[in-house]
Amino acid sequence: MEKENKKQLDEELAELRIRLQEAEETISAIRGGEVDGIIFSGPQGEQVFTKTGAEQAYRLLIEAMNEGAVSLNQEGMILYCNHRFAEMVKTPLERVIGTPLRQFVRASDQPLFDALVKKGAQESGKGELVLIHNDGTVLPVLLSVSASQTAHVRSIVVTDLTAQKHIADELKRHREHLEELVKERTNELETSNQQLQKEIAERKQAVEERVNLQFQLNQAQKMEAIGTLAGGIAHDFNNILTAILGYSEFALFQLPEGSKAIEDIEQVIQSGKRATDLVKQILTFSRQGEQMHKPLQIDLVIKEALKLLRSSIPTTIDIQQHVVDCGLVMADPTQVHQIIMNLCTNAYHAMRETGGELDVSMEVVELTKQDYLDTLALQPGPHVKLSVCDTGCGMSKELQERIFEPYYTTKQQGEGTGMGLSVVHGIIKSHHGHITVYSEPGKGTEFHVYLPLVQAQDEGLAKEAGGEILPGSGTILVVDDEPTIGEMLKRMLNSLGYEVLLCSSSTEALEVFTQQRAHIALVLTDMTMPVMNGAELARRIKLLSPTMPVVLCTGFSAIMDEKKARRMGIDGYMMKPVILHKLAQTLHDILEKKSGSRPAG
Amino acid sequence: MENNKETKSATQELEAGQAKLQDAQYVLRLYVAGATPKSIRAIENIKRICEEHLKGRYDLEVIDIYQQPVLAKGDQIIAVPTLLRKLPPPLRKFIGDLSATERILLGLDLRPK
Repeated sequence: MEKENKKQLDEELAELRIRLQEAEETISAIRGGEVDGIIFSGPQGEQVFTKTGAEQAYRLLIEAMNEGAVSLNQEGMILYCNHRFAEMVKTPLERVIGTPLRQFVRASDQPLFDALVKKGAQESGKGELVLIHNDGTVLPVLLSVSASQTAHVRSIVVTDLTAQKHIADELKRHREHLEELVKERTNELETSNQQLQKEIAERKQAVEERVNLQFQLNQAQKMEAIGTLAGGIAHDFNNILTAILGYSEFALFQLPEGSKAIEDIEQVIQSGKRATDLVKQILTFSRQGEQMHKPLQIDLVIKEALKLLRSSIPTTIDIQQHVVDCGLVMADPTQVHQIIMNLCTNAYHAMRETGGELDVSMEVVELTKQDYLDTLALQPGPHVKLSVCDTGCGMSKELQERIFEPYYTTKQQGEGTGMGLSVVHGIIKSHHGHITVYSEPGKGTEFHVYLPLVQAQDEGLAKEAGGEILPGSGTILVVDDEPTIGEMLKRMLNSLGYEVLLCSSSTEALEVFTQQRAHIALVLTDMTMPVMNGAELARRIKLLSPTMPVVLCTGFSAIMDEKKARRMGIDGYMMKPVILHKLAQTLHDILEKKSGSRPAG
Repeated sequence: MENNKETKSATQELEAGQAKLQDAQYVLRLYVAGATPKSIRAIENIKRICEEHLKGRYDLEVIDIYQQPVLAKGDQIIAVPTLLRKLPPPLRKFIGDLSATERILLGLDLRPK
């Protein structure tokens, strides 16, 4: 036991000796300057004191670094700063230390600075603010305040943000520039897009217009071809009928009274007359029938036709009429009558089963160039629009395309000839008008007829046509291969005071003209003649004497119309049958013009 | 005889102890004050001693008292540089510039006393 105590005591003694040795070594080391630092522990934590010169390596680091380094006391006075900081504030180092750091901070940033420094007593903090140079320029910086281990000193690192700000500014500028470019490009694209949309719409419209035009052209060509064919056949057929009717009548006269054949021949004559009527209709369709165009107030004709219709159409069909005076149209009253009768009869047929409403209305419309393009028929200018609308069974698109063809009918045998709408079509075309149809199966049909209104200058002519007959004087060379017509023209001209040289062929006329051109005031020639037609004669006369007035007279000619004649230099154009008023007026105007333009003396 | 026996026993004990230390794992902690000349020298010396005498069986921590003053307090360090032998026991401290290699070797029980 005692032995054990001794051993323990020995061990404690050895330990104490070691402690003592350590203490002595420590004191000796401190005394001998072997230590660089001493640590004090106290209520304020651990504080390290190092020997003078011991911090040299740190000082070198701090002086070499690119950031500013500053130590402040509790009052904010700079105790230490490195060279870099002195550069940052553009102030000599010796004038920086001992001054308050706050004086280098922009006034508006000083509250932030105060907060950072105050906070630095407990924890680290960072903040961006602006330093003011001694020369007044500014420097954006990041202030990093280290948590202080000693309450009375703050350590601050100051980082120059100029480059960073510059880069940020550059980036911002670039971004704004890019955004601007994007915006510009977007605008350009939007404009292009709108342009493109517009072009697409225009092209689409152009395609639609072309399709429509093609359709109109096809329709017109089809109707023209049918008209020519039907007209040709009808002419020949007419000649045959003339013979049939003529010889039948001869035969009828030669038959003894009471002959059984009389009734048979009368049947032949009756059928022949019916065939003649039909031929007339075909000729009307093909615009080769006789026409008497004169200035006409068509509302009167329409009203009359409707009165007639009302009496023949059952009362289950309500006729609404808005027929008003729309002005004058150059038209044949019989044919206008026929238009309204045919259209209304068709409308009645469409509503026969169910009853309904038949609406006939008129208005003046001003047509434009576009309407011409849409229809290929109508010239720009004022037109009378006559509408005939029914609430009947309507018709399909396919049907609408064919309704104007002769002998095309949807009616049962015996109900219609299939010529009604063809005749209407022919009449309207011969009046330089146009007809359109709009229909939907089960909803009814609308026909719109457009006829050109007589315009002011024509109106003057129209009035004069019915007024005073203007006399004249001078020699007129009249050319017509029909002796009766030639004679008639001669009498008419003589009655007006003119002298007449009458020729029955163009070759003869050319000869007479060559010999006597000095006495001739004007040439009046027929169009259709053998060997040399009126147009050719006119051309040759104009070659011989360019100022010689030539008036062309024609019944129907597929190769000549007024416009064409004017283009050829022909001075006047007259439709047969020639009316005295018109003849007098035309010759008077032309000769007046000629004498007016003749050089004085 | 008995005394002789005791001596023999003590010698054997020491030899056994030293033999044990031959294989012991050393845990050392060196406190310095940043990059002061003495601290730099201390780091260089201790590192060399460890590599020469304790290669493969030492764990050296170098602590800058500026950076971690709290550790210094725990180890009751009052001056730097100081080398602390944490393992093997007993705990030993060596203060000063630690350039006296023999003294360190002795203190680390790496030289027979």
